[in-house]
Amino acid sequence: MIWDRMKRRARVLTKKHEVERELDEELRTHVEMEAEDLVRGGMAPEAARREALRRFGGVERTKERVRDERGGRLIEDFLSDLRYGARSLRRSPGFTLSALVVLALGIGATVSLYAAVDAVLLEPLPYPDSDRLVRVWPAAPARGVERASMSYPDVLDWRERSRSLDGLAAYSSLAGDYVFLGPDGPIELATTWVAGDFFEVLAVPTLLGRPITQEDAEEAHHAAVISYGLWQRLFGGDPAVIGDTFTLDYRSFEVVGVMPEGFAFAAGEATEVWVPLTVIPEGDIPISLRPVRFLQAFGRLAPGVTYAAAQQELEAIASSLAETYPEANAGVTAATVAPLRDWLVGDVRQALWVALGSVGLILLLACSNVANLLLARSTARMREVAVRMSLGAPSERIVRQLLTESALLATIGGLLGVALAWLATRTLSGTADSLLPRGGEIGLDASVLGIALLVTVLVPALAGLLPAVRGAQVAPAGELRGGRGGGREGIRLRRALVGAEVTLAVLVLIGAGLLGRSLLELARVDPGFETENRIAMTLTIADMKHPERSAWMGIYHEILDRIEAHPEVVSAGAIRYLPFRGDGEALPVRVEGLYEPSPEEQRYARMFQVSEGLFDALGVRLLRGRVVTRADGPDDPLVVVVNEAFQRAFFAGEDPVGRRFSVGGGDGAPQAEIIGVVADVRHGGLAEEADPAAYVRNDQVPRIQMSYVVHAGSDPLALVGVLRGIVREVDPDQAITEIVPLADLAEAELARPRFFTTLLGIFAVLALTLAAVGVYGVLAYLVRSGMRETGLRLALGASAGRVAAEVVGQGMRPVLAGLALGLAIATLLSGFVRSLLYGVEPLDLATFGLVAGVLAFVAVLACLVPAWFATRVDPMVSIRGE
Amino acid sequence: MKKSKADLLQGTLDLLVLKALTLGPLHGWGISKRIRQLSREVLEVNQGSLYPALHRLEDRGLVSSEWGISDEGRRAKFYTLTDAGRAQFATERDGWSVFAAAVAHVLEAR
Repeated sequence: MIWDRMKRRARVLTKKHEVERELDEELRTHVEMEAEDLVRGGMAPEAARREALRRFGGVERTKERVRDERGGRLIEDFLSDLRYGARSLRRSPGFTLSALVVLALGIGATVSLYAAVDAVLLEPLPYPDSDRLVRVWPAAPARGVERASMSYPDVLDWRERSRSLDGLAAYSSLAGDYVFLGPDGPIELATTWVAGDFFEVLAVPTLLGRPITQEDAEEAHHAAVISYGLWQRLFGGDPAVIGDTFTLDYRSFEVVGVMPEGFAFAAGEATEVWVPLTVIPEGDIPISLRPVRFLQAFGRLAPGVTYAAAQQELEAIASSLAETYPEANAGVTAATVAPLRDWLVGDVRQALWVALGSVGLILLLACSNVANLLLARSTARMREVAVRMSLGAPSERIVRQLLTESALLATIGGLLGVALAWLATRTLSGTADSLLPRGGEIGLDASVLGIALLVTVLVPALAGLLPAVRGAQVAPAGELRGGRGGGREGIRLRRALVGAEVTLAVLVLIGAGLLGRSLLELARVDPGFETENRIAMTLTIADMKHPERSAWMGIYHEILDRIEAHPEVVSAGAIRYLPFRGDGEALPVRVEGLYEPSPEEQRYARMFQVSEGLFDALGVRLLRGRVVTRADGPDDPLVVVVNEAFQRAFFAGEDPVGRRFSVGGGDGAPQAEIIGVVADVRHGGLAEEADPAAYVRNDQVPRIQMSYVVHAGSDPLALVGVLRGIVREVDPDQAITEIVPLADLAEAELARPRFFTTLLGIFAVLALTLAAVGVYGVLAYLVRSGMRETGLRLALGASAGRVAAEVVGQGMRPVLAGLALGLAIATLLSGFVRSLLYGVEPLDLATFGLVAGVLAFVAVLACLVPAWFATRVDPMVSIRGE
Repeated sequence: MKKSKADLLQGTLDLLVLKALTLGPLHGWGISKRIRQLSREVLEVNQGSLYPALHRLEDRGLVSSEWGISDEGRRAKFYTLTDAGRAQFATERDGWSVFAAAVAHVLEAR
């Protein structure tokens, strides 16, 4: 029955002519039958016909009522509105095209940005009940440390004592890469050390086999869980791999589990192997020592426990541990707890919200522009509307028709926008993967498409309603007589819209301007080292293969010597942790008579192992004294080169060369002599002021992972093959972690700010264009509608310059009002971007001034064109015309 | 007020149309004539209401329509009661009887 009904309605809609013809025939038959009946009753045919018609009443009215009753009327009207709308849009391609471009850009930009926000900030992490997962850190308030790493004994104690956490997991990616000797030579597999309940806390089941368990950790089983990717790559996806042993890091590990595809902790990181942290050899990291802080911890909040309650409990535990173990834990009396997702997303949050805010403003601008275009049109169409109304169309029908037209516009614009967003997110997810945490997950999913739909519905409502209602408020009589009744109010409205557009544009431009200035400042920062013609090679010497320190140090020297000896190499050195890639090891400093803090207030310097040639190779300036040399051997007294920050922090600016300090407190603390001072290097990042740093010769405090820094005579990339060759010659089983030009490191530091600045820059150009188009549109309309008056004035002798000046003045009034309002709002809002800025204040006068200047300039340009037209009016034509 | 009166009339008209069709398929003019005859010339159906009612009943699936040839040999649109229409008529007739009896009771009450 429903089906029959739908079929009937479909027929009404699709075969309208046939249905109408039948209705016509049906009613005519009725009248004829009535007439025949009357004739049979004895009436003359002609009179019978008239009487039948009279009895029937209004045929057209009856038809109209039948149309109402036969169903589908709303759809019928809608379709006819749609056809009418499509026709009238086709008739004015200029208007349609500009409105569509504006809408597509606005909607496209909004949807793409929302997709990014959704993927990065809103979508839950891919773990069950992920909002209960928290990242936890011990904190040392007196030293200003909020987020410290943890030692394994501390992790065990926290886990044991905490009731507010259901499980506390710890991991360390310091494992770096474990070497796997494959058929094609050694490869490095990204490895993470995990404590026993890492997988239990995340609650992600393995695809095959079992996770690493508490027992594996306690017994130091050589058990390994591998990633789906590695399983495919190394084992061809063979399910029989569980229980197999394979050689990793020159030791034998049993594969106990395979994780599902796409699993990653801290999305974006690419761990391929997880092993219990208890397999770490004592000589590498003495994990049972409480001062050895190398672990990162996270937990799952017990049901009903708040973040604050968990933090309070963990602080109590930390304080009690600090009392029990004053040697190791003095001052570590507090804790920091943060949602795991917040930690993952980090400072991108603010940038993304600012970008989304900007894009929202652009969308409003787009709406306002379309509203403006529609208003202009509705003014131009007043006569048409008046005709329709005087023919009896109710004003509600006319509003509906005008709204249908803008809905049609918005739907097409929305579809184009979604297509744009689809393109943009595909490009974005590729580049954003490395720039944003979870950036690879950006895409158009259901919730994003939902937003797209919402935006597409809201836009015609925002942009179309006002013009539609105004369009229907026509006094037919006045309009048809040729008056210009409704025009005045329309102009006031459109001026207000222009003002609002300028205000919106100011906000977007100031955001972009501040970020741009900040990027410039950042790019100007001297990182303290040279990148030109420099390339670095990082590797971890296979100490499991060469367990004797002298053996693996031998390999380290051998490689360094061979690099130095190469004719293309100007200078070469080595350092533990390349700039921007690691902050060194914490070194507690005490200087007799100058800096003797209590344990709670102990400050640390950052220690880096280097070779004697490092400073030359990296281009770090020596300011005083000397750098380390080959003479500073393993058994000689410890000598260090410090940076200026070190001198400021611990020597109150005095020349420290020749002075000594002790490493940590206590009587037996090792002593170090300062032999030189070098310029500050920004190890922590371009935006981070240098910390106090101490450089020691690698031979005196040896480490297996080192980065060789090579200053090449010319193109450093030409040396890649040479470097690989040297490593292969020295030990064919030695894997290389990474070879990277230093210029890329510096570039990567700028990549994220540059990404956001580019984004906001694009938005700024968009906003400026939209605002300029708005100003131009309104003014052009004003000039056109005032043509007769202008012509008259020119004919009466007014100077062209004066007419032009008046037109520009008229246009600039709403612009200046909008500008002032925009600057005022920006003053209030600019604090929001503070955390994104480097070296620029949120209330940066230069930026504000520049934005105001650029906007005013563009607005004047937009005014000049119509002004020029105004002066070109031929008085005779314009007065006679219309 | 005006609306409820219209509703009542409309509902009554629907009932009468359905009744007229229980006697067999008819065209619009025939329906109005039959109602007039059945009511002994008391009820005059307004054509401006009859045709909207027929199309409404058809939209609700209570009647179906087909072009055919009338007794006078004229092409006309014939309406037929559907099963649903027959059931609807039975329900509405019973409802009307109860209603009419109730009204009669009220009016004759002493």
